[in-house]
Amino acid sequence: MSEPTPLLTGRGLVKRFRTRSLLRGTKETRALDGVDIDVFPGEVVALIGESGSGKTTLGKVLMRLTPIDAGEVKLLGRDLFSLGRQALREARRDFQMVFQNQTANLHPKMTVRQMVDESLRLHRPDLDAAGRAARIDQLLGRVGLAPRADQRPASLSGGERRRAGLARILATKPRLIVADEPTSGLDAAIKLQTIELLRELKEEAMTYLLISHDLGLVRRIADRVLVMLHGRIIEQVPADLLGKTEFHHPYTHRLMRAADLDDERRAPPRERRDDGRGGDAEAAPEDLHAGCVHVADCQLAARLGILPRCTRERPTPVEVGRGHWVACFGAESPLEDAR
Amino acid sequence: MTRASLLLIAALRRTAGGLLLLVGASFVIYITIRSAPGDAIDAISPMGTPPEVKAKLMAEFGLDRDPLTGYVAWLSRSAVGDFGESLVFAPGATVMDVGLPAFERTLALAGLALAACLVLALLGALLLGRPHPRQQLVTGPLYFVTAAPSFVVAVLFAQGMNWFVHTYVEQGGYETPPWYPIPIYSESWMPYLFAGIVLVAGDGLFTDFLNAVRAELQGLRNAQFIAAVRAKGARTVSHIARNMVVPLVSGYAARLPIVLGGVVIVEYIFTLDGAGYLLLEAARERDFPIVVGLSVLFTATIIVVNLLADIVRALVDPREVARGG
Amino acid sequence: MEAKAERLGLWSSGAVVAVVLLLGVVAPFVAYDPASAVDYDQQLVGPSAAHWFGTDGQGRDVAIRLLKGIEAFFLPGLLAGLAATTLGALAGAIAGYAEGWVRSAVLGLMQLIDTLPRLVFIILVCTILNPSISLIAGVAAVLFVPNIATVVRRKVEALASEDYILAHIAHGFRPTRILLYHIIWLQCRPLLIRQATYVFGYVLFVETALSYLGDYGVQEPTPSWGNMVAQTRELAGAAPWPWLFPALAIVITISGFLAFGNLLARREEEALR
Repeated sequence: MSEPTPLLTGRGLVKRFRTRSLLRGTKETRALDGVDIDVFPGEVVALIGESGSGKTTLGKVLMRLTPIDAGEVKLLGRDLFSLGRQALREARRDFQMVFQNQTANLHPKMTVRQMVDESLRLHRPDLDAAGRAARIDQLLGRVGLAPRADQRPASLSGGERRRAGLARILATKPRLIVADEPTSGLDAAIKLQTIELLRELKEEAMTYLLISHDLGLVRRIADRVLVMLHGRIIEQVPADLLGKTEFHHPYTHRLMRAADLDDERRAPPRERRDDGRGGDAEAAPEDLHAGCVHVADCQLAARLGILPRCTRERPTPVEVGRGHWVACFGAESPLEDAR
Repeated sequence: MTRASLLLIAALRRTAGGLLLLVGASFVIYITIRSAPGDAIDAISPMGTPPEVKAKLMAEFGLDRDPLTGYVAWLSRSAVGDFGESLVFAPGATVMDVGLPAFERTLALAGLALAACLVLALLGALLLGRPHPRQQLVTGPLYFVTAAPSFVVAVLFAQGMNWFVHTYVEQGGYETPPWYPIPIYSESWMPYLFAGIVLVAGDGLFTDFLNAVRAELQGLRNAQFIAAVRAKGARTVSHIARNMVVPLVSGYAARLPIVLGGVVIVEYIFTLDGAGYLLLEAARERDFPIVVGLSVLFTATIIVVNLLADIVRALVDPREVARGG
Repeated sequence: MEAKAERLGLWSSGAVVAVVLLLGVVAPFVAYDPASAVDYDQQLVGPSAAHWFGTDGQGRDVAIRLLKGIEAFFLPGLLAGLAATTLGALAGAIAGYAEGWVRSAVLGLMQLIDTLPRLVFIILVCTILNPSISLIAGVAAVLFVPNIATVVRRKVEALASEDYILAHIAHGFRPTRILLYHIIWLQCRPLLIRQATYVFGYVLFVETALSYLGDYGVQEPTPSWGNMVAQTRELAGAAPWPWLFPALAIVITISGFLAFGNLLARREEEALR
């Protein structure tokens, strides 16, 4: 298959969290359990999944903000985890991240102008003061914050703070933006503005990795959707097929049903299995990681009678349509059974 | 695991931590001794000390060895309370014989003064109630006045008393009144009371405590769980009281070092027969074993009180146990 | 009303700080020879136009001794405040940012210093080493490092938990710039000023207390507010001015510095919200 070179590649990413306690022994959870990911120039890839599925961790790993236990990340062909400090700092201008927590993106004691200026000093040493001032005006105009340039974050609204953070990020002329929940906590009107801004940037050939609960946002601007559960990517689907194709991972179905309840903040409701064994993710991590991560909650597996296999074996992604991959043994069954 | 065994483990861990701190602090004290300019033995012995006494001191403080083995030798003696013998102050008596009774008096004075301060701060906070703008006209100047160092308060207090005595004598009294704060040969407990008042009023202790208690109370009154209790129609007093225990205990332990500093000078000014007075007199006369012995006692007290505070916190607040792991 | 009272406090304590700083700078340039100031014809003269604060038992002018007495603690106090805040901020930043054994080591060291009873330890050091005000100020500075480190560490940890540090690393900043400039310089400055005023007040307290006690502080005839207060021993109630004015000067200076630091920090904290 002749494909364009990906901007960003992650291969076999594993990230474990260990909590050590004198009394309870060492407990291990896998935030990332063998993740492969490609992001191609100019596309918007959305990462969806419930809280704790490893979305934000994946974002941070791809930004090299946290060490990994296995795997490699390549950005523009450079292996991020083997770059030296100086080289890494320089490389960082190419990939930027919008953090979910707004206090993280802004400095309380600086005005918007000062923050963008600080960023330009760092990443554009070629510009003089006048050049920077012109660029600041341009950037703030771009995000519609020009009249608020000399305000501090405390006197900005939630939407304005987000746009201020975005202006600062755009100052580095990034190739890729990882946006973690860019619209959470915003009211409807401001959310729409923010989405509009993201979409405009997309038109300008910006590449995004969008981490979100918000299926509305995902449908509106994403090209490709990755579904994460318990540290694995269990489905990859073109955004326009989301909800319109014959087969989805059972978990994706649940996600979409939960989204239909129109509550982006709430994780999908957990379904209890009939035998009464709770679907507590932390109950038996070893079992969970041996087979399919969805097995504890999966009605499809029960219906198809493939539960033993799902518990034992780890499903590999199967292409069920053009650009549509699902990691589920159910996909191998005849469609009428699986739906 | 039961809660009791978790508590026990937490307490053991903290005790081990406290012991480690004590070893570390005693090492700092020992290194300070070794860092004396010139010959350490000359720095720590009074003038005209006979050579045999010097030799004994050398051995006791391990000055004839390298710092590490010297420290171990000194520590193993100190750990069982053997700080050697007094040189000048009470020649021949062991440091513990002289120092311990004095230290007990000092500890009682400082501990009770701080307890009184805590009670007063609590009463003051309840009396003042919710912060109100106009109160700043009272609390502002109060803050200003009580930030005065305790020794200045003591001097002013004693001078005020002096002045009283003068008037008393002039008006026909012919002997020192019983409430005179400076007892030369008196057995009266009044001077201790005066010293206690000075300790509470000085060093910003009272206002500092008052402000901390008020902030804590205010935080609790506004807390969501208190609102929930109120919404149920239950009384909030017991909930607030239970949640005040931890900050009060912590506040007490945190302020003890301040009082133990203040008490040294206040005792000296009121010539109270305590460890502070003893420390300064021994330092003046270069009675070195006493100075070192008392320094270790003061340090150990701070560590032990913090340890006890930790354990009380763990008893009251289960989260503290979990934090210890 | 609240703002008004607070502003009044800030201005009055600020005035105290300004006056002390001004006098502290001027004092070294005022020539004063304690020996030739003695004048037995002018013993214990009450406050007058010629002697604002009267004269002491040896006929020396109290006002000029008060001025020269500032020298005893002024520069050591300032330097100690600066040293303690610098070291404390660095230790706090390291403890808040680092992980593993570095963090444990810094925290352990801080806890260790914090258990030493300050005044007792200073007296111990003075018995062993050659006592001088610079030594006392230096030891006081080290003893205050844990206090300051805790304040800074809490700030760093709070910002780290809000992903502030991570976000700025992701943006390409060096951790040192984030810690030293963003967090310590821009955000902790008011807190550090408060701590510095506290250390200054403490050095003033220790200097005057030890000078009052007489063994390790400033010795007569060189004036110090502490040894001036010590004149109560000879003068008792006869003439209060030789010791009352220095006592008041100690109280006003310490209270003024502490209140100024506190109110300034509070105002900054409110501005941040």
